[in-house]
Amino acid sequence: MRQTVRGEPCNRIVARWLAAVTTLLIAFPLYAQNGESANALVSSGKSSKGLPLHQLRAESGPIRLDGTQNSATVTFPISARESLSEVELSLYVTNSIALMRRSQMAVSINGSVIGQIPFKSEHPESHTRIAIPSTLLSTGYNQLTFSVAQHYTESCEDPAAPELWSEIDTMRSVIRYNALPRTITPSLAQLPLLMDKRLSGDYSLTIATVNLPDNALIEAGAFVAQAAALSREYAALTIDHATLTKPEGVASERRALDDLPDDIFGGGDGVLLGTRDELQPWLDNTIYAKASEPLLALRPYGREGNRFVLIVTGMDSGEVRLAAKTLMLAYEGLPPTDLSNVGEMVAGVATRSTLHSGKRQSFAELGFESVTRQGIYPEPMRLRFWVPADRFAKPNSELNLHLHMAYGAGAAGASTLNIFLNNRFEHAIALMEPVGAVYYDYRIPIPISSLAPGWNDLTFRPNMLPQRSGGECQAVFTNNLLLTLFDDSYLQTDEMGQLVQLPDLNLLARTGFPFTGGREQGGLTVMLTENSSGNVAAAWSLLGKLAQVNHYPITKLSVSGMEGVEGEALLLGQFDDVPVLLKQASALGREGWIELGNRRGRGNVLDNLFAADAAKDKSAGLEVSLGDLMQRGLVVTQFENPLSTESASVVMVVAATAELLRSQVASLVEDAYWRQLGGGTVVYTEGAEQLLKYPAAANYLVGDAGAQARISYTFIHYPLLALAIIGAVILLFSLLTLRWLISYRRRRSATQDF
Amino acid sequence: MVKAVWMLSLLACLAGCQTWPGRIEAEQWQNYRQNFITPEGRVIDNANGGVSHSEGQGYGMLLAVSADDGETFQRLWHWTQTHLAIREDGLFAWRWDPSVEGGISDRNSATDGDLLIAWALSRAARHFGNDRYRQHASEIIRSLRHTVARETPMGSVLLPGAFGFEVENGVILNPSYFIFPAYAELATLDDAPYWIGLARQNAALLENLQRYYTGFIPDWTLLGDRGWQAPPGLPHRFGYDALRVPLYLCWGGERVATSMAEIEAYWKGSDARAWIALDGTEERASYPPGDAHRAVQRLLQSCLGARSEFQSIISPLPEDYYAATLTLLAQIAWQERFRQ
Repeated sequence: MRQTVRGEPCNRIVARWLAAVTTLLIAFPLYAQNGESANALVSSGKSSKGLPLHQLRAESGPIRLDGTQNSATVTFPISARESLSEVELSLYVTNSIALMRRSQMAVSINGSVIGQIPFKSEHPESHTRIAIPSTLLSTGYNQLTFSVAQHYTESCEDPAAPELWSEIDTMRSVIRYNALPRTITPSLAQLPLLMDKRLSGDYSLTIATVNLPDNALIEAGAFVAQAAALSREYAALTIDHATLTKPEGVASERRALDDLPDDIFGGGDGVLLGTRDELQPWLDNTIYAKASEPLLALRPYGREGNRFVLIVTGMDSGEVRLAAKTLMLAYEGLPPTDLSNVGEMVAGVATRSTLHSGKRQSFAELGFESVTRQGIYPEPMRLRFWVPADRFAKPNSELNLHLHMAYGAGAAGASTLNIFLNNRFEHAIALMEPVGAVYYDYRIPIPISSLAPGWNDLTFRPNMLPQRSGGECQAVFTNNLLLTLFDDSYLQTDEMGQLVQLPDLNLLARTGFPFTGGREQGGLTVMLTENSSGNVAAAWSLLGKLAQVNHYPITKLSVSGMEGVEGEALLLGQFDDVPVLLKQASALGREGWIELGNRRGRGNVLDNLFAADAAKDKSAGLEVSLGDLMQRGLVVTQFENPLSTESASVVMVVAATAELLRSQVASLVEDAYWRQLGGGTVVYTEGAEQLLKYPAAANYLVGDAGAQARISYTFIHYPLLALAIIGAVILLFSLLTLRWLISYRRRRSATQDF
Repeated sequence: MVKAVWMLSLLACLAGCQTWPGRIEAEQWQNYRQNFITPEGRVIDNANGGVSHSEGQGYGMLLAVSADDGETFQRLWHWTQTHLAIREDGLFAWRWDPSVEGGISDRNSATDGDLLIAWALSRAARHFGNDRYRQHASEIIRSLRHTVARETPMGSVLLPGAFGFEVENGVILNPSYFIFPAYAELATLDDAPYWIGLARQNAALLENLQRYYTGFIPDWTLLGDRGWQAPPGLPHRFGYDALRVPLYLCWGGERVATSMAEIEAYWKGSDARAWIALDGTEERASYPPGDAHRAVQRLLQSCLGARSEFQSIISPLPEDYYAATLTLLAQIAWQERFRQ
């Protein structure tokens, strides 16, 4: 029985003390029940993250599930760099109030059901939290599927009844988890995974050189930046530059990466870029020995080994450049070793699916595989392809789809296959045959103006209804609702020329044009007002972004100072150091006050008088002081290269100081700002949500199109000019006709008189 | 002494090592408070004519701690003290009916309610830093041990109430009154070896009971001189009371016997019913297990090691008090048992 009162207080104190101590000693094994959580306790790198479902989908808005049976899947990416624990889905669902109690939603991850939510008509809004066991998750893409069974009656029902619906709020629904960095496996083949887009949150890579880099090293760094950017596909990436100082008195003594200054890579991953002699203090014996040829090496870094250092080196700057370029071209096929001389690598970057002018291209060539869809509202089928930025097509040109498709018997006459291009409805195919049908070469014309420069999405959405769908207890069959789209379907455009009007910073943002695509044949020159750390970092970040939007690296690239360049040029630095000729050619040319945009009475005559409404800047232009502009932040402006004989462009990116340039370009390449680029000049101001955009003061055409195409282009964009010319021609012919008639009359009169 | 201290430390760890206390979301608590707690601090059992009982007050107090709502906790405790603490032995009357004059419709105590209230007071003392709650808890459990503690051939037990549960040939027990997580907590306030021993013996008793009832656990049973028998005047079924047994076993950190898998498997079956008779009559409910069963089933799956995911119903909570309460308790139990 219970102890005496005398002993109680002492026992209680001892018990509490022991409980506290024992808690500390015994807690860890208990936490180890949950696997990853144990590591999370002992490491300082654990971070809590939340991923709203809308970030996992290409489409915006809620996920809507209609009909008696439907499902939707979102892909939850997990990076190879992270170990996840305490993963939890917080799910907000609204269901139709017409649903009866048999209705429910099942949630599964990679095919395993992890939760079921009953739908209640009296409580249509539900919020559920579902813990997702980490044992069901894997590195890569995990399929989170929401499947519904929805009913409004116990007896026969119309499976496509409009009241059968539920919606997932993708803004409020969030996947939350703790992420702990994993130890790096030193394998070059893993490098793309170490930086890939699945690594959530902000990511930056610091490239360190011994002293400020020369042009050859900047070129090498540009290749490394592009390789890193392409690894991340579309995810944001900031490239930074750090300067290493070679320690004195260590001529023959080699140290290790641990001897790098603590914060050299800003707490993240890094690259050591330089010759073997420059990097000697930090190279281990193995790397040093093999660096007699161009070399790439990967080493874990940091206290827990969950960061990496990539070493790009060789005997001289040419070898370093070669190693970096090979990295860029071979980043998807690097060898599974910790270090390799580049001669052992096979370079080749996967090409993108590009739509060629006038050429017949099968869906298979563009990466599509034959697919069959089943059910009432099955998942759409998608084809994605790239359209070069400088394509110009005459009015009434078409993109023709030639479909090979088949659909099953028993579909109701209201069934359709709807076709969308870039989310705009373009065409529908009625699936009317009750016995089904197979179509070969079913032609669908789409106006070529529906194409956009860069990536285009062609979506095929089947809506198939069963012939029998309700009534007096009729059996409803949906298994026969089948549609197959074959990959030997093809598309073909009318002939398109190459002509585009610049400047157009939106085109640069979408496609990297004019620095990418066919015009890249001449190469791109990067001009820096000075090779300072800030300017170099900004250049690398920007080049990485351009490679991302192009989905392909810029391979022909050189770096120069402010000496004149005839071809395509990307100029970065401080405006004061820009040569006068280029200053004057840009919108920022005037001393004191600068004209931005068109102002009636100045600028491009054609634009002022004849431009179609869309080309006119309704807000007119304005004048600002150069000093004010520079103080605001970053200025990006595009103009025709005054030194070029073939309409090349200069894109100038300037800020007041190199450090401002570094930080503000890092912001500019973030998606929220980058997609705002447009017009001829853009100003980024720190803290502002919107970029200030101004149209160009002078436009110019670039492209290889013939005279006819240029004339067509001019008339399309200056319709009033076309009217004026036609009017003038008519007037001229009228006058000539009148003159001829007068002359004829005079001659006739003279003859008669005679 | 040393052994008791180490056992005590182990129990204290089990009581406090996991995430503590388990969390209730603000949205859930608002929903629960709105539907089941009056402004005066009375927990309403809306499936039983709107009555209140000591068990409900105890549950409400536990949930208020997990919701970090000290004000509501105090109101619940105050109502409990002023309306149910009418017995002379320091225990609480178990039933209060608003339609009865004076409110009290049954003066008998209910051990589960007393345990839950004491347990909630102890947790509140720790969470809100109020020593007076701890003193009240100590008084209650001292009263419990004086009034309802008994020794049986199968070890120590607590009778379900102060009177009426000792019969000529044995004692009537309610296995769902074996609140294992409460034992662990209360051991830190009182005679630790007793509560530790009680936990161990009750766990063994449950295993024996389940073997006798071929996998099921009865709501009520009689432990007599001839072993387990039907309880006189009480339902002999596996039903709404007994479904809390896996909840408490799992929450208390007890090794959940593989025999509990039979209950989990039964609930998953297509012919499962909310209750079934254990008296050989094959009588059973006409409806399947509901939200209350599902709440415990989700926790049980994790305890059995079959699955480690858990689904918390944030909104809407089940409409009836019992299911809503068990839904939240299962969530708290899962967090305290499995989540850091």
